[in-house]
Amino acid sequence: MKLNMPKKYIILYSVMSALGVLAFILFGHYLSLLLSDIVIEGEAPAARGLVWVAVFFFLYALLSFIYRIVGAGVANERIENLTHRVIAKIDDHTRKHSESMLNAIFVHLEKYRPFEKVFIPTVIQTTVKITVIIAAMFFIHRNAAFIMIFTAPFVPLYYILVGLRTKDESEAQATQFDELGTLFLNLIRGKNTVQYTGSERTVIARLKHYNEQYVKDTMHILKYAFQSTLMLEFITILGIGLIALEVGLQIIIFENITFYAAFFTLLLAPEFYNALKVLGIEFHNGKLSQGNLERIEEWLESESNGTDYRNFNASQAVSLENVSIGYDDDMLLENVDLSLPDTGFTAITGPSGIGKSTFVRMLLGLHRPKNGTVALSDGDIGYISDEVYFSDTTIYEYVSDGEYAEADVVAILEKLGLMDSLGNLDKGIHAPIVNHNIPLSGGEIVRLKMARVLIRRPKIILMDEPTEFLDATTEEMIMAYLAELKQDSAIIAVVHRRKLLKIADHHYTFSNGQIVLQKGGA
Amino acid sequence: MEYLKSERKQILYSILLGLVGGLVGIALFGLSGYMISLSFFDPPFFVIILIIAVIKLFGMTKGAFRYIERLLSHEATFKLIGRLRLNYFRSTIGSGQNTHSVKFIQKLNQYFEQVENYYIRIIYPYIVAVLISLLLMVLAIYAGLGFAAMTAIIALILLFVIPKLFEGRMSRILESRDRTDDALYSRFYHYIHDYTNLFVTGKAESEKEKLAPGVRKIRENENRMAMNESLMQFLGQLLQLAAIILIIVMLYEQTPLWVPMIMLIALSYFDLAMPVMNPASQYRTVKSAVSELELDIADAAIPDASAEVSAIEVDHLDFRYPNASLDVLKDISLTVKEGEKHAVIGSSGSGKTTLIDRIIDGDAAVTLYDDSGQAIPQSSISQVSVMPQQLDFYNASVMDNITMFGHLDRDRTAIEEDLETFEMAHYTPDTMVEFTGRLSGGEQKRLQFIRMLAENKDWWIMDEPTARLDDRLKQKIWDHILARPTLIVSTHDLSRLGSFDHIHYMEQGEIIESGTYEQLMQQRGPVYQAVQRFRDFL
Repeated sequence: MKLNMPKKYIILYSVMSALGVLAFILFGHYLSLLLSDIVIEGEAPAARGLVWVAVFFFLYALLSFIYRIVGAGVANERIENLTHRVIAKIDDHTRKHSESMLNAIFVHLEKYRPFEKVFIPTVIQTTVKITVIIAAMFFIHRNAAFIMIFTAPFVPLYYILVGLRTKDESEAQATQFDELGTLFLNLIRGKNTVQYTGSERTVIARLKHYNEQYVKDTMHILKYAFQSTLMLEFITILGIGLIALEVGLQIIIFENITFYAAFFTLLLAPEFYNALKVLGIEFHNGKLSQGNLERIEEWLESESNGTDYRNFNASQAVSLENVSIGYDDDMLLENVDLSLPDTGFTAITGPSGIGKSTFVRMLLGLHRPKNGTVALSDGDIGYISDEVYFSDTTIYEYVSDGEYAEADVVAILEKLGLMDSLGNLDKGIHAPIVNHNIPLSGGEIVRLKMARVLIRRPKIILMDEPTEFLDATTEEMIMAYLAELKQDSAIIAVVHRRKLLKIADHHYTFSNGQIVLQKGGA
Repeated sequence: MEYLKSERKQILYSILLGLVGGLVGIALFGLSGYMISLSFFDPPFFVIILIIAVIKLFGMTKGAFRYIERLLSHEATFKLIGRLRLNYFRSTIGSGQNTHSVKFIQKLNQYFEQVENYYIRIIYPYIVAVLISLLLMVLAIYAGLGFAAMTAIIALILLFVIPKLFEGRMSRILESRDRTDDALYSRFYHYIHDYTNLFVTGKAESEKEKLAPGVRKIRENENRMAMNESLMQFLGQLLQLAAIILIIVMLYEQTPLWVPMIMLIALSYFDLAMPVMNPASQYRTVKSAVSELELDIADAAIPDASAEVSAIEVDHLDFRYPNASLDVLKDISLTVKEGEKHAVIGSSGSGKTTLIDRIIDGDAAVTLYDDSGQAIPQSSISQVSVMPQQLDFYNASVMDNITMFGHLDRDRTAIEEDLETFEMAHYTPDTMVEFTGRLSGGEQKRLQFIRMLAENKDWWIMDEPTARLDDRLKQKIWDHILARPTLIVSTHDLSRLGSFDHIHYMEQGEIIESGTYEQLMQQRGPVYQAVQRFRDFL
């Protein structure tokens, strides 16, 4: 498994781990000397010995403490950066998958965190520990070092022979495990439909069945997982037992080992084998966390818009040269040249799906063309979309967008004939909009969207014609206003209805990948 | 804990096995310590061999016990979670709670994960650690009462005082983490949904930067959490150091041979008890999550088969959302009888969806009647097929989704044909609907439509049935809809308005015009205008 971590951290972790293990070994050294005095010589423990024991154990504890904090600190910082990289992928398409994006940030990243916070530091720490202990054993009791070297490979060997199979199996099961959990959650979420269809009993019976299946499947995975742990435990015991046996025989038969070496060996042996066991267990956990990283990487790999491809030095409102746009191999416009004047109303028509909206998005800087240059006269573009998103806000905040004084807002609302109906609201233009509940008619909402854009008096106005129901008066009012506005600004509108063509100065239609000027315009 | 009843045996066994396994593990180290001390004083050879044999045997048993214990405790926990889920589902289904928010589902998921932790990581290991401590205390009496007292004090500090000390801080950190998450979540939601506008007005970057403090706060919270966890471990290790020194000082005079044994026992005891501290310190927080789920429901009432609906009456309905300051629906009255087709039109935000939801979900002002004119309970709405704005699909096959897990009687071929008819032949009845979010709006509409065909009811209540579909599909769907005897349909698509018996025009939460198509066309009011406007579309 790859430790996707910069080298500097891996080195830092290794050095800190090595210092920690050294402190522990020195603690073991002084403790063994001390006990040797007590048991063999029958003496009182030397004060100096006790102090050394205390100092090195304290050092060991302190280093472990620092190691944990550093490890968590590094991991949390890296997760924060990763979060920002995911955020950078948010664009105007994301709202269609907002649930998946929110999950990536609030669920998958959180489930990945332990990999960086615990898994990587633990793996490095245990690897260093194993190496240092074996090295130290060569000086303390060489035979034990050999036993360690010979038994240690059984752990990876076990993983290769048995563990890999169980790993695949447990991963397949883990997916299912997730799905069962998700089914429960989406039954909760979708309980209304269960009610509407009167299928409560059937669904409950099914959920019960799934639950039983879930316990069965889960236990099946766990059996494998626990078997692996059991095997690791056996290998550990075997190793420790072998070392104990060897030490015992050395003491009695060969009488060529000191108490110091014997105790020290038995103190370090469990540390060594536990480290091996931890490596094995962490391997499994690491695999699970990485599944979450893959979900995050799906987002990171998605294309982002990059830098603005437009330039703003055109002498006319819009000037396109040799522009092609499309999705993958599906071309919508091919090698189009087009200039639109600084003032006047340009209507764009064509059947749905032919690329009108993509064209507008390209002008807005949201859809990079395959080739060609896009030049505009001004970066300040007003966009009146046919969608509307009201977050928890007020009408004043919505229209001013934090930039205009109340008087300006009132002026534009008055001009669009909105103040009469807004004045009727409890708090006037400061009436809150909660949960997207807008106390306005369709025509009023359209005018509100326009007010938000027009208050800025942009040089270029792009709009998708509102398909809302409007009454005749409102419609006349809007058309009159647009007719006045087009004297000073370029209005480019995707038009769905003939009526709006009346105020159009130019009329273009999309067909066969080209933008064609219609005779009927102007 | 009352939920544990039926798993009591498994839990008892797993605690016992955990206890024995733990003790054997500790004995293992003790014995090896005793062995070395003993060996240097010429014991009979077979004693040493015996001790080594026992050590090995102990080791194997410990492993085996631990294996069985984990299987038992996990099985018990998962069964318990299964039952919790079932109960939770039963009680939610009867409640009016809105369960559609992503945030709610995410929280619920978190709670269930915490339940798993609660039993497997907090309760079992803690009980085992406490029992082992008690036994060791009793054994420590052999080495003198003073020593036993020291053991007791250390166990008390380790298992009780330190976790208690950190409990408050931990729960504060977790709470603050929760708040940060909630606030950041709404910011994210806003940023994602308002992105296009923010980009166009050049505010996307600055708005994105406003997300940074929340993200940083998460990091700071995590760091504080790590600091506390590490501090707890550090304190545990200092205690361990104290134990090591005390063992030497207290025991070297009387029982020097025991010192190595007790030393190794102590080290092994700390290995077992220290991992318990951190989960124990989170007990309070996790406990409160668990109680959220352990809803007390005797037997949530699932309505029995209900009567056929023959009329729906809406009588002076006013409605406002909680926390909102304005009525979304104002004085709506409307009666729909069997065999009538009603259309509700009007601009977005005029209250059409809310009206449809009120009829479907029930309201004091909405009454259902059976054919004898008797009012019948709201649950009879299950006799009506509905297409609300918010559609529900589940992580299951298309077949299960359409038949509601076998509740509706519809065979495969019929479903295959429906999929074909509505241009969804890329799905088969066996296709897994993997993630509700991956179905497009149009696909959801069509699947719901196929579901309604499977229900085969006379009444259909629908919100925007043809939205997000192309023209050909729209007409196909209208043909099916209009073939039903009784309809309440809210729609923007006026192409078939003439086929409805009654048309209602809504504006700002009120019905401002109602009548038959012919009447309304003559009246030349808002409906007439809307129809003209619709015809004007290119």
